Amino acid sequence: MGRVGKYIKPYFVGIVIAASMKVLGSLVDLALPYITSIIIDDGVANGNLDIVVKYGLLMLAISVCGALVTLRAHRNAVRISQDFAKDVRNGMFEHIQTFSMKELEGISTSSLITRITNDVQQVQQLLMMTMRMFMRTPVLAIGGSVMAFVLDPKLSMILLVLLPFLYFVMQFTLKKTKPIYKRLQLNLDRLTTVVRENLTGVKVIKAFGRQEYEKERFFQRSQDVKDAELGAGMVLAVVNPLITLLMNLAVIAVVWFGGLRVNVGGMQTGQILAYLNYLTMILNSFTNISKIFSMCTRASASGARINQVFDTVSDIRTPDSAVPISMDKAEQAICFENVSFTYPGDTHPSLEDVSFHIEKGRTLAIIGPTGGGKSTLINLLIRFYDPDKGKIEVAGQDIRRVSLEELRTKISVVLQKTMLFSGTISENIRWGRADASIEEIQAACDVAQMDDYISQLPQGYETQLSQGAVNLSGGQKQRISIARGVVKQGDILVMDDSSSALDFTTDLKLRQAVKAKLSCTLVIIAQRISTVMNADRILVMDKGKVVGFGNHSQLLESCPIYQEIYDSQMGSGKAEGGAVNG
Amino acid sequence: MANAFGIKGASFGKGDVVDFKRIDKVKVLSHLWVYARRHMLRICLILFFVVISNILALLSPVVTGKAIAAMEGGPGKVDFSLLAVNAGLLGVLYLSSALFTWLQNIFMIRMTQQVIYDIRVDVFSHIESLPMSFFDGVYKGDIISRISYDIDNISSCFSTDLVHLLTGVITVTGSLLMMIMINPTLTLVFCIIVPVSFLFARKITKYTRKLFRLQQYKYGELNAYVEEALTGQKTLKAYCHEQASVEGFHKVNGELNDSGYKAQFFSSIVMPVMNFLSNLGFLLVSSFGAFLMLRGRLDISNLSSFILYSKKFSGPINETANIINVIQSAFSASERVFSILEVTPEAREEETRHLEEAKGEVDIHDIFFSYLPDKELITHFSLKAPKGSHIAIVGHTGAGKTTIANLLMKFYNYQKGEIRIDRKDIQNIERQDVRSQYGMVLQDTWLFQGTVMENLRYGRFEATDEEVIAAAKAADAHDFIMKLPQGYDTVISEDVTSMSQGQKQLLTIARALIADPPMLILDEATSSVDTITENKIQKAMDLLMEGRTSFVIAHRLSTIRNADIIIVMEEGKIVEQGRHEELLEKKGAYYTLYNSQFADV
Repeated sequence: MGRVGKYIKPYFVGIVIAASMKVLGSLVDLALPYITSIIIDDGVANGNLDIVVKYGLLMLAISVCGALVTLRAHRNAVRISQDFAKDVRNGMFEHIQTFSMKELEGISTSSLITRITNDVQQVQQLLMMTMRMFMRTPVLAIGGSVMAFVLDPKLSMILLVLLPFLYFVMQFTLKKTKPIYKRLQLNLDRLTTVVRENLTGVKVIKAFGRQEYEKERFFQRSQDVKDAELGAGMVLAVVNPLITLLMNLAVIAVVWFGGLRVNVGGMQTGQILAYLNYLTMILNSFTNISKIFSMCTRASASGARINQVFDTVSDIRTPDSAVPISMDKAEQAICFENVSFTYPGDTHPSLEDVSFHIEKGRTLAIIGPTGGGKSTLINLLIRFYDPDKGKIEVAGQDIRRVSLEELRTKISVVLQKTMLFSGTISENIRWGRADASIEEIQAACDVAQMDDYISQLPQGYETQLSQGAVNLSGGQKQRISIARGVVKQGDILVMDDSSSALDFTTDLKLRQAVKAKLSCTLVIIAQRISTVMNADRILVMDKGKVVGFGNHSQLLESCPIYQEIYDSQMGSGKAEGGAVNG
Repeated sequence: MANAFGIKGASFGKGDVVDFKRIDKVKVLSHLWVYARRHMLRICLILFFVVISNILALLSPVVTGKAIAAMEGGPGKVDFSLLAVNAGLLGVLYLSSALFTWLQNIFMIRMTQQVIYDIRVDVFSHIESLPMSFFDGVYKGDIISRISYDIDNISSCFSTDLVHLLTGVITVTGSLLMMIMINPTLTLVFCIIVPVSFLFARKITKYTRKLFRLQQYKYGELNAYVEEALTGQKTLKAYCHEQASVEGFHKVNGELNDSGYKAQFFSSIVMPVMNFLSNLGFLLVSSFGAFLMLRGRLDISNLSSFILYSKKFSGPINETANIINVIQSAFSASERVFSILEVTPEAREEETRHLEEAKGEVDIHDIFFSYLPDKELITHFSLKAPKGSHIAIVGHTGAGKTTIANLLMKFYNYQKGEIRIDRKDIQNIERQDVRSQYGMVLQDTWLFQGTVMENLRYGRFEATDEEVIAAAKAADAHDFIMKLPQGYDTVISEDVTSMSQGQKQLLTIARALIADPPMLILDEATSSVDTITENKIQKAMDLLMEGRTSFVIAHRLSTIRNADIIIVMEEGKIVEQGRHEELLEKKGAYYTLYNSQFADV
């Protein structure tokens, strides 16, 4: 049962109570025919209106009680199943928040979405149906069997013969459907993936005119879902008629052997009739059997998927005895010592033996060819991943010894891929620091060169952004995310190629404002030489290795890759610019 | 969507988005009918099987009775030959009943799954035909919820509960007929409770419909929340927002819990109440029946049969009451699913012509455009791009550069003006034909879950492996692809972190190279690529642009120096236009922009 079982535990008593109340309510239903027979046999048949009225009122009273008990049982069932689902979802979401990138990629976003919604739903439904309907089945079946045994143990041998067959049918169904339901949930994941991709990549899809191809992809995934459903359905289609048939064969056997018993005087016909009634009772309890089977197996497949989420534990966690970071006393803001790292599932290292450091309050710029490991440095710095080898220190502390929250609060990162969320502009910027005042937000936007634009919007800072902020241009989104990083007031501000969509004038103004108004340590990853050349230190990365570390003039002397980058941007440009200026 | 129920709060999955039309009951049913209609034959067969297996079920007690009658003689006098005949008959009955139930199940499941598949496919196909503005305004998670969860909901209702309903209808009608035949007056008395139950059920369903709608809607919201939170996980972690996002989730989850509880609870009232009412009906029947008997107007056997049939009559009604929550949520789910189909697709194109392969002359004439009605973004925009010319569009962020690209691609319809390709107004050319003229490389990369090879071949499916590899080499992507664990067969997706943003851009450039279109739009195509690599792929880009009309949006002005026409945009207007040297001479906006890239802090 795993973690799902733990979530059921607190409700266990409630579940038993709800289910027994439901059974009690159903027993009332079973008592009513008895009273009916009294009303008919003693009252109606004898023309005795008194009995009719007396027992009629009794029946009414019983059925009112029955209705109330059932109502109460339903209320509990609904409450418990809803609360249980809420608990599991809360627990899952909280747990997912502790995942590092490795775990998130391992299970995939689409699958996590399906698990937290659809899979929880499956278990919840089973729980509710168990309390509301399914409990009846075993109670009626066992009750019926016991009564039958009491009535005539010899004839009940037939039921014993039947048992292994019933068991076999159940085993068969479970064995057949379990892998199918597992596949079904997996196929739903894949379906979700396609839908998500289509909603995200609509521009590319339309640009390439690939709607038909995407439809084909979706159709295939839907077909897979359909096939799984059909596969399970075909097995379940047999279960109901087969179990009914087995029970009915028992009826025939009872009729035949009953005849033999009657012939030798072992039984009376009335007893045979009563016996058959019990058999019918057992049979009737099986009407939901295929639904029970399908819900049970699907829920158990879902339960396994939920447990898998809970069982996934990230090794990137806050250590038990976390030490604080104090930037005041430190000399070095950041220090990488012989760091090597390979992404999970990758074969080539993304970083190899990287060492560098930057003093407090200085500016470090990182430049280098695409795929050289620049962003990976940041991923390791804020512990999205841990290095395979080596040590990273912030303010002289090994980052594995400090709390994740403190580390990520001390470092403001503006990520390369801009991610804004639905909500107003000010809400988005307050992500940086929840208690930032509107003046602070404006100041941050002023640094990010965004204040002028936002101020002239009709709703200003309260302008609503939709998911992914499609109503803003790329550069505007980048500047809002820079403002978000600035407002956080971390000791270290990291900008990972986060002004790539800005024009040069805006970029320049931005850099000037950052220099003038912020006193923190700066780490800037950039492609533009003009952005990096004035940094105190420049780190040149290529193929996961440090190929240059120094200031602009040093590197221009000693680092061929830096020279190459410089030439590619400034060489011809400057000559021409100079000509114009001259 | 967020305002539909006047609820505000949490930080994800909310805001003003596409206003899905609320569709009424009739509309939902007529949508469902469209799908059911395709299976008329199956439905008839299912009906047939249901009737047959019901009749068989009704016959078996009679045969059992006969078998027992064979034992009436008592010890030593049991008529075994009669017993054997009846037992054999029972066997035949049971076997055929099982067979028909099985057939009925199979047909039902096949039909349901086909209907569900059809709905899914139709909804998705419809989404593919919707305009860009739709995608700008929806929450992905909400749409995902509609396509997976809501449709799943319809499916589970269909497959298990529809048969119940069908059987129920038959039983109810049959019992009613039998009751009328036995005694019309008594039937009338019995039927007094029918309008009461009916009114009650109606009242409750009407009340709970709102609740179920809310529940389903909350489900979508939860989905949207999770989707947005997980997509932005990196940012979320970098800003230590785990706690806040957990709290927000608790809130949405709590709201779902609330609405779910109310919907499920109120619908669960129906069953016990109906049960009670049918007991009341029974009481009425037996008292009035006793009264009739005293008057000698009814005999005991008729009365007991009548009572048996009245029980049969109430059975399915109670059962329906028991599954009313399933039916209700399936109905609300249908509303949500079909409301997607009600969103107007990209305007149907009447009298449009095909455009096979453009020569590449583009003429933009006095275009006006705005995304929002009250905020003009593009005004008086005119531009002539002769065949094979290279147009560069520069300007500050937010000046409208990407918007121009969007309009060229017919992603949005402009309010005024005209865009012509080869002197043909693109309004009269099929959307897809316009788009296929351009190869587009965007700043935002988009890779789907699939192998590198599949992703690259997205540009042109017929491309051979060699062509794909050649393009990857030209885009300087070959080397890093070969370093991936399975090379070109490595499965990648947009979420992959081990591939750098620049590398993803190189892949999208290779994809455009493979597409080999007559014209090109490059929107900040190399913004995340370093300049050395950019120089390396410049040759490939030059080759790609050779002889093709191309529109290049870039900040790195070094890459556009050789353009035939450089357009400087400011606030949706062209402020300068000309060749690099001319514009520098002018010492205007371009001059300032150009020199800013060499300025020092």
